Amino acid sequence: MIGVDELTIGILGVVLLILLVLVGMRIYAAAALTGFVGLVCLRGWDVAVAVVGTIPHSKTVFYSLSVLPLFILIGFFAFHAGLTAKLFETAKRWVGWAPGGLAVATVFASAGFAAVSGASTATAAVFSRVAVPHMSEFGYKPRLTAGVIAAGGTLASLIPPSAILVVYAIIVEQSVGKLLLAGLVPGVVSVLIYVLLIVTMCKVQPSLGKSITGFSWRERFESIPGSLPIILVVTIIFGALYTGTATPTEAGAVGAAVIFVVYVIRALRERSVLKYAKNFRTALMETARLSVMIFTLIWGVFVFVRFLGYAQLPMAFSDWIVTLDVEPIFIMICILLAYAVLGMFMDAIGMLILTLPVVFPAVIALGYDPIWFGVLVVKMAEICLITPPIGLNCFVVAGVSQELTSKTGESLAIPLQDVFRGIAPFFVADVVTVAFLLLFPDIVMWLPNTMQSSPV
Amino acid sequence: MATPQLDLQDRWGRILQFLDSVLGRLEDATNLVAGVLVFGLMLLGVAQVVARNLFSAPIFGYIDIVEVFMVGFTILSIAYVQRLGGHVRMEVLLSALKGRSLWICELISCALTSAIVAILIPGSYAHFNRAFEFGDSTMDVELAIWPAKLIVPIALAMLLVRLILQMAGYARMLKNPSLPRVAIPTTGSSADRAKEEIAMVQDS
Repeated sequence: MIGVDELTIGILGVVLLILLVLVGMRIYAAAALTGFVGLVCLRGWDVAVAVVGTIPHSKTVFYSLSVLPLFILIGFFAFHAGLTAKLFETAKRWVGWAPGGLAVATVFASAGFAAVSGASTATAAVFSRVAVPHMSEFGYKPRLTAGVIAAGGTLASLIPPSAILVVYAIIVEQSVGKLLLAGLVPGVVSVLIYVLLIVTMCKVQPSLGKSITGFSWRERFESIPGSLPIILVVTIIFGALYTGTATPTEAGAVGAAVIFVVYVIRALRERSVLKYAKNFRTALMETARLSVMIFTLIWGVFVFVRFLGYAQLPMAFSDWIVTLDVEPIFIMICILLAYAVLGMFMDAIGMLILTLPVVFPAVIALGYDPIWFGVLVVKMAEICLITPPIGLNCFVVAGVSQELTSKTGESLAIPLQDVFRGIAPFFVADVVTVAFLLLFPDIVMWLPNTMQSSPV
Repeated sequence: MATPQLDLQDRWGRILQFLDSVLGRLEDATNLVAGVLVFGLMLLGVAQVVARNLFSAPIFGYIDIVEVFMVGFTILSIAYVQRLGGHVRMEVLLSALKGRSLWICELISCALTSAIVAILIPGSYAHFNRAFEFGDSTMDVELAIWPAKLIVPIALAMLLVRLILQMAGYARMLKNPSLPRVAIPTTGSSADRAKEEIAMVQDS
């Protein structure tokens, strides 16, 4: 139309988008604007206006996407229902005997909380409050404390219900249920590798953190009822997804309702209905805010994707990738490394939504499984939550610790640089996990491959 | 939720603060509606599971109802999120800027965002209008789709007003960077976002 071929316009569009994102424009607006300009170049003003105008509605109101706000809601209800302290206590009584027992307990409790919350930073914030005073009291080194809490928070990205896996499923049009189930085993592998790391570190250097012994079996079993709501929600969500008796949205709805009932019971027991009513409103407001934020990103990027489709760029990119004379595994490692670098500067969900429209077709053309790739990129995005300079979980741990004091009134503040130092061994552990997932794809695939289909 | 009121010396700042607070209340209300709709989605989901599995009588048109009301939590409070600076962006370059250079960047970025939003409004209105004229409805229970489609241009129009206010806020800072900030969100660095997360946990 303007003397340049469609593919060149597509490439120019990508360059323009990168520039706009780099200078700090909100991603949804940068993607929509670039997509619109590209469509004008390819199809003219009137077509472009008509096409982009339909996308905010038509690309977001699908039943399968309605699971997102519910998973977010479960997490907010779980914070306010006070389930974290009880979960930590249960984990402490059951696994505290291991070397570095409280750190091990933090990993297990974070994993348990991750099973009702899809938000990594929130998990880190909650456990900083619960675990830092405890671990300090028992003489744990602040670096280990900070490292384990920041790393434990990242488990929420893989262990279902994970908001980021749902977003991936939406963008690449894969089964939400399969992806959620696929995250479970890699999440458990991550937990086990973290635990192995802590036990080894504390065996080699016992001054890092001691074991907590002396709990009788009776005391251990007594701690379980406090954690029952979480066990119940986990069972409901997994049971529903695996057996296909409910859709992910329905499973999310029932899960949220269970936690809501616990929340109401707690409000009635503490006789502070006003405070709980205020927290309820906050939970709804925060859920809505996060939902709108994610959905806005989705439609913004879909405007850009429509333009890319007209420019035939994703097809050209995947054609080019498959003609490269290198092993597919090498290309995959390069893609994962690119995500690791990008994730250091960008929010995980934004990064995935922005890059997948181009990267995903190429990955599929290379012969990789979409579910397996989803778990891998989400794990990479998760690692970026603990790497500088963004490393949001590390900022959260350092921030919460500033406000904490010991029983004797001493500050428990952990400086940010100590948090980043403390996270280093966990970063290495995560790289090992990624290597496992790359080498043994069955870790990801066996569970979703055995699931039943859902009713609608 | 509304922005705290400052004792401002400049007239421009006072006008902006007033407009920010009026629009802010409306935005808060839209976001609360969105939150209530999510809660409603939860209740409907539970009802659907119970009705289908216990009484073998699933709610007729369950998916239609969800899809019609979804617009409430996909776009309705987009202006609220913009006010809080909650839409994702890359902060690397911006965090290195200070004073006028920062405000120029923010102003340009805001102007470009306003441009695309202004383009989206007539397009999304036309999308609504087609549904309205043809009497478009859902598959099963034949719910009218046009009210949901009308929400999109309304939400985008609110976003445009918010963006114009933010542009005015950035222009004010550009004129005099030492003034207190009005009608503009915080920069959103990792430290700021961590503070927000911590504040939320503190409330519980």
